[in-house]
Amino acid sequence: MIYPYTGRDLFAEPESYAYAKCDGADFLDDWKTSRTAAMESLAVRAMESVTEVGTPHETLPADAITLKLILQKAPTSVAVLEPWIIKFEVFGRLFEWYRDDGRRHPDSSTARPATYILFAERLCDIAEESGSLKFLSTLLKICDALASQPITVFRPSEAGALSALFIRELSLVTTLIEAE
Amino acid sequence: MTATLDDVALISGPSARSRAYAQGMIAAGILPGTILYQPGEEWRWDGPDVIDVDLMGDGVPFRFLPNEPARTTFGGADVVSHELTTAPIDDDANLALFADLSVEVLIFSGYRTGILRKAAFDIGKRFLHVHGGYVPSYRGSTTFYYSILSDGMMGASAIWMDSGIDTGPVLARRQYSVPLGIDIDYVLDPLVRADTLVNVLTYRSQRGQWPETEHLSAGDGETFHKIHPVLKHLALRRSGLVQGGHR
Repeated sequence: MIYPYTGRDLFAEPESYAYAKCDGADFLDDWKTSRTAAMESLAVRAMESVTEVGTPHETLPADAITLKLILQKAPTSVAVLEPWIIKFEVFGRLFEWYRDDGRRHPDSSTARPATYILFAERLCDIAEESGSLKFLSTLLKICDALASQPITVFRPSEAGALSALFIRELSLVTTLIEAE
Repeated sequence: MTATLDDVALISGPSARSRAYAQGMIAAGILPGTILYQPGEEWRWDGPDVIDVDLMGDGVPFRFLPNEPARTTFGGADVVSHELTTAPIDDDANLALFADLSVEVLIFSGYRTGILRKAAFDIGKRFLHVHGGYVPSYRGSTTFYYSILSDGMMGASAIWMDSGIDTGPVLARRQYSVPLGIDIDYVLDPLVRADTLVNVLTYRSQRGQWPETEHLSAGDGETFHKIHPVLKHLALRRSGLVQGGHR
């Protein structure tokens, strides 16, 4: 079987995960195989000598704050992450800019890969520290969505970071399996 | 001997949960005063026609007939019934009907409706909901699976609904061990909720009043989101529902 949750762009067309059929004996192996294949592609991408140009300069509107900055300010705060987890769980995607009231800024683009990776790293930090299954569940979903992207959307440095994230994700699941 | 709770209406959908509620109530000798049937195609179960589950480990199994619609279970009962014309229970037409009923409590069984919109709380009735998790530790979605993974248990909480997610006053909360090899989504989930519901209704029937409520802070505990399939798979393994699974 093929792991069924990375076959389309999940940021564009979010997955509901409702009544997921995952009782097959091979389901876990299929997931690991999918992640391993993604990591192999990411390793190649990470070694490519692509000239990394900076993010296109966009003037931040006065009434906007970047999600990246929010995530950088409070690296392991559950309370700070919670609203973004809810947004991701409900809408399946995030945006680069938000307003003070937590709503997306009307001029914002969807979040860039680097922002999603940072968000996932924060989830991973808390899941590792607390053993929280809630954070691990959302981490698994965002990793699905990142794995569903064409490899070329990631800069080489992002490809390396995402590969490292997948290794941490696998380690968290392995810990759960070993606890059985 | 059957007791009828005249001030209680059951909102019944064509779902496994409503069937379990109906069968649990009939087995306990309790009837709602009114039944409100939601429209929709009856759910069909491909597994065994009869499933006995000893939820409390006391040798008294809950006998579940998954393919028996609630209206069949209630067929011979002398109960007022209405056919709703639309399934979402907080639809304006349904709320108008509920407001006119001479009942105080509506049992919510979740079919085609999630969180109720504010208007539902303005009709002068209370909604009794059994959440599939032991609050406040397990609020939100698919909490059976999270609690199986964390504690090896399932839980259910009977609450008066409010506008939050499983944050209302708690009438009863119970924990259950997880019998191996029994479907969770369509059998254990409905049965555990039905058992907790019947527990509350029995109290109401025998004592003439509802159980005293616990008010748990909305800030306590954890609100979960739909579980990722990898974690669900691990919970299924622990429940003996995957080949090679174990506890």
